Formats: sequence, C-alpha cells, structure tokens
Amino acid sequence: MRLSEVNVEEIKMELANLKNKKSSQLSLVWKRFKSNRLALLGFVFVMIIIFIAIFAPFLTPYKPYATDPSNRLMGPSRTHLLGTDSLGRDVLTRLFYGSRIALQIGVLIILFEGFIGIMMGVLSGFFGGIIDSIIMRLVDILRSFPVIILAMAIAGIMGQGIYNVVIALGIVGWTTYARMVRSKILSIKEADYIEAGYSIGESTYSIITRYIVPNAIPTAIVMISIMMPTALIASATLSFLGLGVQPPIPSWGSMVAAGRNYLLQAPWISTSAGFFIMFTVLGFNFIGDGLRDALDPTTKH
Amino acid sequence: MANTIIETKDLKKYFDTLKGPCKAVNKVNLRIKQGETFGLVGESGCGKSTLVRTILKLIEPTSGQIFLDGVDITDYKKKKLMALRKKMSLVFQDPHSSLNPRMTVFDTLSRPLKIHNLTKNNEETMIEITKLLKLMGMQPEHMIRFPHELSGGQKQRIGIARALAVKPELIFLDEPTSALDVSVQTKILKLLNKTKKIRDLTYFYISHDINLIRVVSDRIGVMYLGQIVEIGEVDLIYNNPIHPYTKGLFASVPEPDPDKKIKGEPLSGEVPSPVNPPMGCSFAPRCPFVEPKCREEKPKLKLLSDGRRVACHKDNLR
Repeated sequence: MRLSEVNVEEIKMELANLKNKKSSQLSLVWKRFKSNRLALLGFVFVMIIIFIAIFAPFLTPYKPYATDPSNRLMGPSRTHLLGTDSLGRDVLTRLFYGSRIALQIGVLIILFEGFIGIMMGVLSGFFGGIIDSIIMRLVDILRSFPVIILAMAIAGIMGQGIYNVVIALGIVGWTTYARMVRSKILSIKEADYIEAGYSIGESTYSIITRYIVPNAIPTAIVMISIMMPTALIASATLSFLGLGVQPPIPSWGSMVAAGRNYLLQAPWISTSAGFFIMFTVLGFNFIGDGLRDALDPTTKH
Repeated sequence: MANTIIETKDLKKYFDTLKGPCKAVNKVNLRIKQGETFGLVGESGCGKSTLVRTILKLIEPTSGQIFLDGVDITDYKKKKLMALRKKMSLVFQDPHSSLNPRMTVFDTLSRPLKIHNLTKNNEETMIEITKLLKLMGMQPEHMIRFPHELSGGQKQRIGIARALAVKPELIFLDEPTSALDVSVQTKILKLLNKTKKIRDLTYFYISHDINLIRVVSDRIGVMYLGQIVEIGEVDLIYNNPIHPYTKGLFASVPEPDPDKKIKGEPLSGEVPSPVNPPMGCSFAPRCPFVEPKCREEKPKLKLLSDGRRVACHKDNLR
C-alpha cells in the first residue's frame, strides 16, 4: 500500500474507537491487585488500622491517659473489652491511640529513609565512578553493624522521642533502598531502549525522566511497601527496649514491655499489643507482595 | 554514479581496559553510496556494532573522521547532533530490550516525532503513527499496546517504525532478524525491502549471517578484528573471495546439500585479542598462506581491477 492511499478520515474513526477501549495503566494495576486475595486482605487490614487511627476518639469512651487506680489490672469485661493495665487505663483505648503513633512513625521513617536512599541509589547507579564508590562504601560501613544495635546506640545518644526514633532508624534504613535502586538502575542502563532513546535524539534529562525513572519506580514502590513492616517492627523494638517513644504516650512496643511484668496476672496487655503489631505488619506485608506482582507489566495472569 | 552518503576516514575507536586500549575499530575506511544496501559481515566481537555506533555518534570516535553527505560530522555536539539524528537511525538486534517496557507503542513512536517537531499536535501525531503502523503491516489498535503484549515480530516492526519515524536517509540495521524465528525473518526482510523502495532509503546491514547478507546486499564489507579486510560487489566476493579470511569465513557456512563440496578450508584457530592485536596483518596467525612480510607490516586496502578492495600482501590469490 502506498502511503498516500491511507485514508485520514478512516484513521480518525478508528482512533475514536480506540479511545473508548483504552484503560489507564493505573486501573490495570488496580485490577491485578484486586485479583490477588492476600493483597486485598492486607489492604483491608491496613484500612482498618488507618480507620482506627483516625477515629480513635469516637471509637472509645475512655481517654488514653486517664488512670483509674481502683480498676487496676482488670480482666476483659463489658466495660473494658481488653481489660486495664497497671494504672487502670483501658488497654483497648491505648491500643487505638497507639495505632496513631505506629503509623506516624512508620510513615515518617519510610519518607525519611526512602527519600535519602532513592536519591543516593539514583546518583550512584546513574553516574557511577567515584560517586558510586563513595556512596556504596558508606552503605557497606553502615550495613556492617547489626541494624538494631546501631539504631539503639543512636537513639541512646539522641535520647527518646518520636523524631529521634525516626532519625535513628532512618540513618541505617536508607542503605537498603540505595542498594536496591542502584542495582535496578544499573540493569536499566544496560538495556537497548536507553541507547535507542539516545539514537532518536533524546536528551540526558529525558532519558532519566522518561526511560530510567519510570522503570525504576515500581521497584521503589514495592520496596517502600515491604520496608514499612520492617520500620514498624524496628520502632516497636526500640520502644520495647525503652529507647523509643516515651511513656505515657501509648505505643504498642512500650505496651508489650509494660505488660511483660504482669504476664501471668494480666496477659491481655502484652498479647493484645503484640496482636496489633502483628496485624498491621501482616497487612503491609501482603500489600507489598501484591504490589510487587501488580506493578510488574510482564506478569501474566 | 550515486553520491556518497556516508564516508569514514581512518576511523578508530579504542576502549580503555586495565590491560591497555582495546582496539575495537581500527582504521576503518568506508564509503556508502546513496540508495545502496551495504552489508557488513564478520564474527561476533569483530567490531561491527561498535563501528556502527561510532558512525551514529552514539559513542565518540577515538580518532579519524566521519562524513555525512560530504560534511565532516566527527565533532558534532548537541544541537548539530540533533539534526544528525534525523538523517540516520538504528534498528536493534533484540526487539525485546530495544523497546521501553513502560511506554505504549504510541509513546514509543511519538517520541521521535515530538523531539524533532515533525508533527504539530496530537492528532497529526496519531495520523503519522497510524501511517507508520500500516506501512509495517500493523493496525492502529496496536498503538495502545505495551511491548510485552506484542510478539517478537511485532516488536521488531515497532523498532523499525521508530527508526523510520524521523524520515531518515540512512538506516543502520544491527542484525535486525537474528533474534526472530525463520518465518518471521523472511517477512521482516521483505518488509524492509519494500520500505526501502517506498522511502528511498539507504541500508547498512550488520550481520554474522552470510546467507542473509548475500540476499539483501548490493555491496559487502568483511570485517576482522576491527578492520575491513575485503570490500566490494556482493556477487564478486561471494563467488570468488580473495582475502584468506573471507575464503575461510565463507567455507565455514554450513552447506545444506551433503553432496556438494565445500569450497576452501574452514577457519582454524582463535581470534586474537583486540587489546593486543598482531603486529602485522591481524589475520597472519591464522592465515594458511602466511609469509614473513605479513607478520611485520600491516597490509593496506588495495583496489583490484574488478572494483573491490582487499587488504592482503599476496597478489597472486585470485
């Protein structure tokens, strides 16, 4: 067929038909995510926790700091569904308010370490050479310490408090992102489509924003959703050890620690706090796995 | 006589390695005529792909000159390079990795049009892309597909369409069919042949497949260890190879008819390292006709009476 014979009007009609058929990439990802039952379950778990965190004051008649010495270490009952702790505070109320602290710390850690880590990974992977060497050796040094020991040392030096927990865990945590993003970018850089981009006249900026970043973003998203539970557990660990969130602020980690002294008389304090940690971590883990599968365009269903 | 579209003069590309420079392209002199199909053959690692990427200015040459339509483009940077990208384009060997997995066919094909301002608005872009797709024997509905939703042959058609989008004069085809199965290979080759006539193109094929090169090319060049050893009309060289390497290369092609005798001796020995090539003729260590002179002095390409050029010291090889 000669080019001049192509009927422009016909093409326009066909294109109009196409527009209706086209589904956006985002809806495609959501469709794949939905078809994964575990991922959906995780999504529901996390939604429940977020709901609790937002509406905590309306879900319970008690205040998280209100002590009631006459009702210490009460077992679960109608008035106190999960009993009370050693100061007579309602455990369920404190767990509800604890979800605010947990999500807050989790999100802050992810943002902090994710931002630093992804930036460092991109710099390292794209530019290579001496920049790469410096960043990667720094990562090696930080990774040579056991994560929680180093975080404990930093938290010990800086003192307690929400922001210090975030900084202590973030200083160690970014290394994971940096390594992953770097290796992803190194593999993308080798692909023919990068050279193809240059061969049609793309600028370096365009190569980074249109070719490298879009291919690296799924990795980053999956990593963030997988690192979320790690961050939650690490911050709970610090609180459990007394280096994290200060009492009387209700955090799950410190509630497990506080309930440990009454494990035989009032087992509901530690176990219910532990259950909340597990529930949330599981939820984020399922989401992470689901996202990994849904974001990979080559996954076949 | 047709005009020369691309010419290289003593083109060199050395890569730095720990052991010293790797001489991937070593003093290559080429002249491609407008409208012809030139085929470059050689073993894997002989520098074919590097040569093409150097001519395309995707990698910087170490020394030598490149002329496009008689203009020296060796030192072109940025803006001038952009103009160059409109005249020459490249089709890749592996269709799977040459398309951005995050871009739809529309995105992939609209990029060259947008970069070079070839279309004014979205509608024009769409029409242009539809024309390209139809030329490639594909449908407009493929526009919204992602590469992983296409077959290998379709992906390669998109790769060719991308190369055609800028309306180039010269297309480099880096083993465009070697990653495809045989039935698709034929279709792609026919398609390329048809497109060449419609668009008045010049083709520069690279391949290690001698039979393919023989079918598609007007002239061929044989490359060995970063150098052209023989260059000329395809039928002349195929029927009567002169350079000992060309003879050996053609003799190593499997012959489907068991009763036919293979002409000449197949190659023996290993290709020397391009980091440390032989002092004299680079083929001397493997050459069955080697003379002392071959080990000391590099042979130059010499013009023979039938119009081909051969880089060999021996005059009586015909």
